[in-house]
Amino acid sequence: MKIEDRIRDALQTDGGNLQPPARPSLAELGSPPRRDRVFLAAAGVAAAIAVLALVVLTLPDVRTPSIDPLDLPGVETPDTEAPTADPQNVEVPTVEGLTVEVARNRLDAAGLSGEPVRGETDGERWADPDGPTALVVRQQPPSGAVVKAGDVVGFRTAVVNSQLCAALDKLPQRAGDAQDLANQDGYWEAIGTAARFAEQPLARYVDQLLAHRAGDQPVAQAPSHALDSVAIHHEACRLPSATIPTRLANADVQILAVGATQDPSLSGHIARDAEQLQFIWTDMADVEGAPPELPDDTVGVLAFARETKSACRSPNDIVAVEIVSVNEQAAEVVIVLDPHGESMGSCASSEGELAWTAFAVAIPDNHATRLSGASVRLAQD
Amino acid sequence: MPASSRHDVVGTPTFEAFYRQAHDDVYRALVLTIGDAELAADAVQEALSKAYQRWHEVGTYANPTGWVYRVALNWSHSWFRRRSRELALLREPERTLSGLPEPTDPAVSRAVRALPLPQRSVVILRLYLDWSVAEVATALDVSPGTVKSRLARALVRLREHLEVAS
Repeated sequence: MKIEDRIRDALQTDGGNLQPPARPSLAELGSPPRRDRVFLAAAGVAAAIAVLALVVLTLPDVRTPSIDPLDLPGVETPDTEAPTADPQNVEVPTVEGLTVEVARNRLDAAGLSGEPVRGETDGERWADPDGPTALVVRQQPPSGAVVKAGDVVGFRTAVVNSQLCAALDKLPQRAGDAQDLANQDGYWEAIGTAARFAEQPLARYVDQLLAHRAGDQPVAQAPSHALDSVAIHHEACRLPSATIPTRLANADVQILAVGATQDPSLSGHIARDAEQLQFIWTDMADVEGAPPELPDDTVGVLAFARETKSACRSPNDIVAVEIVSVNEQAAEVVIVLDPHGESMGSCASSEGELAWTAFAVAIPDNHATRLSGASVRLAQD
Repeated sequence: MPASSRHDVVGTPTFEAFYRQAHDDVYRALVLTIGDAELAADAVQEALSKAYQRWHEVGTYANPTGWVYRVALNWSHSWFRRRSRELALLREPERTLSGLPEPTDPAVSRAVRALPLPQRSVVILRLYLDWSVAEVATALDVSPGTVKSRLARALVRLREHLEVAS
């Protein structure tokens, strides 16, 4: 028997023996998957306790503007009085205000690890964002606590940008908990504006809140995790140590060209004049199309996205362009892409598979004084 | 990011018909690809939800079922990476239960499972769903030439694996 036939027969039989689950109704499509992703071991596993403390948390503490899971009944916390002389105990470093990626590196260096919170509230699963650009707003255990090496530090996290923060800045003055905030004048207008600039999962939570409001339902019945997430993002925007990306207005960004190349070495270049841009573009291997023109008073930015297919991404995949401070002297342009964008076949090379989609955009030169490089990232999904 | 526009497609007959036809096919193909029935069920629901939200666009594709398969596969793959990290944190041994019935040809099942994911996907879509090279290419968003070369390399590996097994 030919190998192909043997494999086909086996797969057809095995596939036929599979019993698909009942199809959710169309109304149920869009609910989170059935499985609970909160992987907590039984009580007594020290590594899980810090995560458990934050999973139990649903709303910011009522009486204070801060989120303090230690106030919740029944929550166990690591023993903070363990002798530091024990080599198995480590001190928790400060990670609030850092991105999740940097926070994890810092915890790793201390012999710990970190995870954003997830859980279930009012029967609905939710999770704080976990991308490398998500900011740590709160940590548990707090900085300075002494815990066992290998323990997990829980994070409340948020993905913010300058436009979102400007919208959330219009939220009324914080008083009481997240629900009290939602009862104040100006709240719903502010989050309506914020919806335009929010990434996932905040975008989804804001949609839920606005749909709830549009149905004339009381605030007391609004999804509490969604109210909570708005409060967390508002807090993220006010972190003194946080690096918040400056998201450029759409009118300030011009998409010059999208091409394909097998040579990623030119990714991250900043072209300060038209001649430089044309030189860089034509220097790219396998790129097709004429070099883009650079409008006056702009700089050209090239950043490449790794692909595994022969077609390029579409210019429509560009969701936003941000400027992120690397340090006091340097900043980087980040082109934010839709993670589910569709490819554009027209720029595929005739030579075979291509490895990178090249994006060339122009931004106003007044944003370019500290620019040292460029990259792409996928928007939070 | 734009808000979802699910309300635009509520009650759209064409999506309902697609949903009825695609759900089981994609589920079975995904289970054969990733070997986890429960994860596949979640991944398919996630992908079909996305198709539902974007039906005005996805409904125009040459192979919308293929799009759902690819989105589901990507979703399940990213979940696996998180799961590996979570298990490392909680220091649990990886559970092997996958919710699958016994394979009819265990050697073939092991050999297919041992393929790298890109080759495994091509094998499942070509030999289980019986899609044409063009349909597989559209589903996986690769060129037809890539489909053929991946299938050829997969068959070489499968042949070697099965010869060793026998």
